[in-house]
Amino acid sequence: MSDLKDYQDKQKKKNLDAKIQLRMEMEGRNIFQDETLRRHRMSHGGRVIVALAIAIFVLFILSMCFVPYGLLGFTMTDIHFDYSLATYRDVTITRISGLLDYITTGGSSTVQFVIYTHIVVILAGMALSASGAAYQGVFRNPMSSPTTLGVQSGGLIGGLIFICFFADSDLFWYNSNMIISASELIEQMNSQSIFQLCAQQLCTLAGCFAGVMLIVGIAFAAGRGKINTVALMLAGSVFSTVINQIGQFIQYVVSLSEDENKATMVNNLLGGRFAAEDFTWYEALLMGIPVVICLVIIFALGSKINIMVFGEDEAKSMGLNVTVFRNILIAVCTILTAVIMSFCGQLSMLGFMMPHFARYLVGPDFRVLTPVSALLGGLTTLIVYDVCYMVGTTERFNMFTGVVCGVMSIFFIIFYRRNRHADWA
Amino acid sequence: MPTGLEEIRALRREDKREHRRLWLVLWALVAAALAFDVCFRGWGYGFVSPLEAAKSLIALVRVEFAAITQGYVYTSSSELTTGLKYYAETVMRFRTALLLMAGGAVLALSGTVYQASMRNPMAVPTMLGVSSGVNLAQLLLVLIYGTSVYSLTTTRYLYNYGIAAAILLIVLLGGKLAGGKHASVADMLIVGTVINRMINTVVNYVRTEMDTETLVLFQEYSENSYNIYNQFSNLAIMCAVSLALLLPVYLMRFSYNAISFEDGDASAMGVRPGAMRVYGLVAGALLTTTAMIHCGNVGMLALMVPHLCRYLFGADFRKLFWSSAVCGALLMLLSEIIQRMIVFEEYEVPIGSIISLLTVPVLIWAMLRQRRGWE
Repeated sequence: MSDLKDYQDKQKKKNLDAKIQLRMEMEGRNIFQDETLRRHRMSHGGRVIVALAIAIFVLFILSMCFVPYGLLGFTMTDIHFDYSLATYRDVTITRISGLLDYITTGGSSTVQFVIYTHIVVILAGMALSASGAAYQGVFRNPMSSPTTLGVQSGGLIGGLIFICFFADSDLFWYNSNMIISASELIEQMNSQSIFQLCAQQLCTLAGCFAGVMLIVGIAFAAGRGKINTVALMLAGSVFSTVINQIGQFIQYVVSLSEDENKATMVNNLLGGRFAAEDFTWYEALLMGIPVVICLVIIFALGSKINIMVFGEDEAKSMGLNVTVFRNILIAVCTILTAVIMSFCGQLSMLGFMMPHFARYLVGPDFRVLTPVSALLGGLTTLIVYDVCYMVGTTERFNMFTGVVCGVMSIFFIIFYRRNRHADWA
Repeated sequence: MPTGLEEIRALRREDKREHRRLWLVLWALVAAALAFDVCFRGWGYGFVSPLEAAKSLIALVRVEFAAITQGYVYTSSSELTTGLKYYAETVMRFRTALLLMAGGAVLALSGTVYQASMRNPMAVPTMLGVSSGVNLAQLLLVLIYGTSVYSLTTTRYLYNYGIAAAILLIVLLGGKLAGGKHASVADMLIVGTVINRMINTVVNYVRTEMDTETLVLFQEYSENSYNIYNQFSNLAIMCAVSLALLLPVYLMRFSYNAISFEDGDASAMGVRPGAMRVYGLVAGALLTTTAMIHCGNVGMLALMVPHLCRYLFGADFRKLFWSSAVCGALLMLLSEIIQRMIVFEEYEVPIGSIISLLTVPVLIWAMLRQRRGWE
């Protein structure tokens, strides 16, 4: 179905291009041909962005209305449910009014966690996909992503080191089993400095930076000053295998020890923490602020990535300070990955897959590519999360995202590399 | 002119002369490691005296031969082992060491065969998804059969070989499709990486969901299976399978040197690169699966050993064949000794993790000293 639509879009686009060319030939304005075509394609990208944003918004609202109450508005245990259309309409109306009630006055308690969880899910998808697209542009390599560059593995080992050696069980922050009131929470938060509060996040960030520096350094050294794709993939693969084995061992040790709190933390890091929809406003805010800032930076630097794709010397001759912008972009992408890693656990293959999908939709212009890739990622995670919710296994969200994106990327690799024209990788 | 018997003999003599000192050192190291492994009782427990260990091993041989000639006559076998305080322990250590040495040799050989047949210094079965396939198979076995997983015989081999072969097939097919006409190892590597990640995600997640008993069972079954399956029958099965797979490789050792050239040149020398490559692929994957079934999650050894051996003995496949087997056995033994010395919060670190940690510096060093570019 979607293939057919894409095909039709492509045909339409081709016809439009041909029409514009024909018109310009008739008017004899060949000098502006490139510019007009470029503007046309940009407007196409803009339309895709708007359509994706609308899709995310509509899906978000729909899932607000239906998802908190189980599959299509009724739970499986509710045997005596009336299946008539009138009941569905009534139920939907009550739920929408309940949602509005919560938004205006803060009433229902079921809805609020769902809202924040959905926001977290969308932000996670957007952040990872945007950082994947930016990594691909900066390293001029279509196979680089948070997963393959070893960023996530580095973050995993950083978080594990923190949990094993430095985590303090008395803090609410690191103890999800502790139930305290809001005033106690605020007191605890005020008594801590920002470094103590965000210690796990900072450790994850340090691990992420170490991972990306190690893998990219090896790829640089193996390629004699250029990044070598095979060395990159191999080093990332070996690094992640090693970290994976160590992580499995640490998870084994921690699960057998009596510290349930640490076991929960390790499991959250490895398998995600979407089992209970317990994302609260301050977590959504703490995650949202850095993610939104970094996303804005990446979107704003899209034109710089466009220049960087030409290569270092060419970009320099075009007047771009390559070192500064490259370092900024790498830092921003790594921060994005680290934030998602520490709040949502491992979400693999998302940053690998979405940029290719976006490039297939809107072409290689990074000014359009990064937003489209981000929105596609958000849409994918939202759909996967809602399906998980309807089936009743939100705790498997991380796994399902990995599997769905992995299967998609295998098909995309086959398709993409088969039809490659440029000498990428 | 085909190579005659005399030439081969001359070559062998020359090989022996060339690296005599290195071989001596290698064999001495293997003997020392084996002796240390059998005598070392663990951190804080000291050593069994080598004399005592030797007596135990001689008693073991006599008991086994008595069993062969007279059937299981336990009255006499208990007489043979009286007075030997550490008999059971020493025998257990000896069996495990033999199993691990065989596993290390098989893994190293599979890596060498892969690298030779794919003409690429980092193509190993683990990168192409075989090891994660074995991981997945073991997870499925533990989930389906629970604690009765140790009593399985045929089903265990069926699951492991079946899933590993299926994943290898997917990777090869996907790589071939992705590469089109000019399919290379890089295409397969990319598809293999994606599949590796997917399976790792699933296994990691299922581990977090397990209850403690299943987790202990899975950890023991997938990482420390050499402690449970350390009977001589397991060693015999492993050796039989791997020798049957390795015999053609050994007979074609000259041809594997020939296919290190371009395909056209190799064909002009009278070998068939395509057929040999396919055989190398299949045999390497099966060898890795065999070793991983019996020795736990140790696939990274296949990546490390060929690089070391190429540094020590040169790139000649004839020398690599023997030297990688011995080096693999030695490294496996050494990492088992290290594994028994390191304790993390009262738990033994699995041997696979130690091998992985040892692999990282070796691989980085191998990448940095690569004179030719990668592909």
